[in-house]
Amino acid sequence: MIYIGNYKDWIQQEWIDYLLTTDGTPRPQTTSENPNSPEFRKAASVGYDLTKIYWYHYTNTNNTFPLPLELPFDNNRNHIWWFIKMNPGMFMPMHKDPHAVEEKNVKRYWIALQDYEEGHIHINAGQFLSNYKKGDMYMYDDPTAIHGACNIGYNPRIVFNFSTYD
Amino acid sequence: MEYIGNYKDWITPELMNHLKTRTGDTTPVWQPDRWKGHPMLDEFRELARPGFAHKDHDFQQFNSSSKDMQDFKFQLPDLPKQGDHQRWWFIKLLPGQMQAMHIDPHLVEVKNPVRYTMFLEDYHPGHIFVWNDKLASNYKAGDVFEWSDPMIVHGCVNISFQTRYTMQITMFDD
Repeated sequence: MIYIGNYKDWIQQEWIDYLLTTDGTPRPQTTSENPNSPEFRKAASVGYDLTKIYWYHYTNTNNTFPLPLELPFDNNRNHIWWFIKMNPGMFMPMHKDPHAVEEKNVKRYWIALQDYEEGHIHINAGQFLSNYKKGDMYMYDDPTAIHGACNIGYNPRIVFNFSTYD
Repeated sequence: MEYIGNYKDWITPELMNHLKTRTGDTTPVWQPDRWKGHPMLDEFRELARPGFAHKDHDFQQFNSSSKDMQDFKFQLPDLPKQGDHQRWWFIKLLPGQMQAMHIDPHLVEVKNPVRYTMFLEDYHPGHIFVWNDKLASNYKAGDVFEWSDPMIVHGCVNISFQTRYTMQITMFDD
């Protein structure tokens, strides 16, 4: 993960309030939004219960995040963005982002919406992000790298993700 | 964590087959009956209550009291520091299982504890053990680490696609 800079001033408090008080799309529970992808089938085959809620997903395309938002930069490139909330005990198994594999010249970013807390875990290509501050932005060295996250701490974990591509 | 050495030869195919084919004790992540009697345990019990008290989070454990270990005899590895007593347990984390950040409850009851962790298989992405903002990674099967502070807050989770196995040992005095 390549540290880009701190974008604390870009983060709006109303976003934080909304995310902490409103649940987004429960994943993978909402089967209608889950592709019948090899990764989901693989997860189910080793015991992950796809009827449970492992994380909440928010984006603009399904109105799960209705507040105004512009990317910190590169708004003119093709892009997608999404928030993730994990309550204590939630996790996202190791995976590759489908869009990062399918699109061209992808740049994949991650922004912390809170200061680091013990038990808030993001793993990317074997690298563990810790001691970050609210607003810290990182870019994936490799947008197709396998990564995952979990919350074995005691407070909700919220992050912002976006990718730009040709 | 201080690297002690590699004890791969201690890990027998019989041991791994036993752990892989038995369930062990299904243990809840939140253990209010054990997390009490010490200010740190009281603190963690209440910190964890909102997130973990009413969920079905658990993990698999094998110890000397486990039904699944009564027919499996073995000797502990010959580790550098010995105590008057030893407590051992294996942790088997199926994909999606975890232990929230915690301290080990038994450590508040014993004298001069020395805490060891042995990884029973090579590191695999998504096998997560964290302490002091650090991640254990790139270890090999049989690698043993001594905890610099047995009372350190730690946690583990398996977000991979294969089961994770470790052995835990505490040496302590009367």
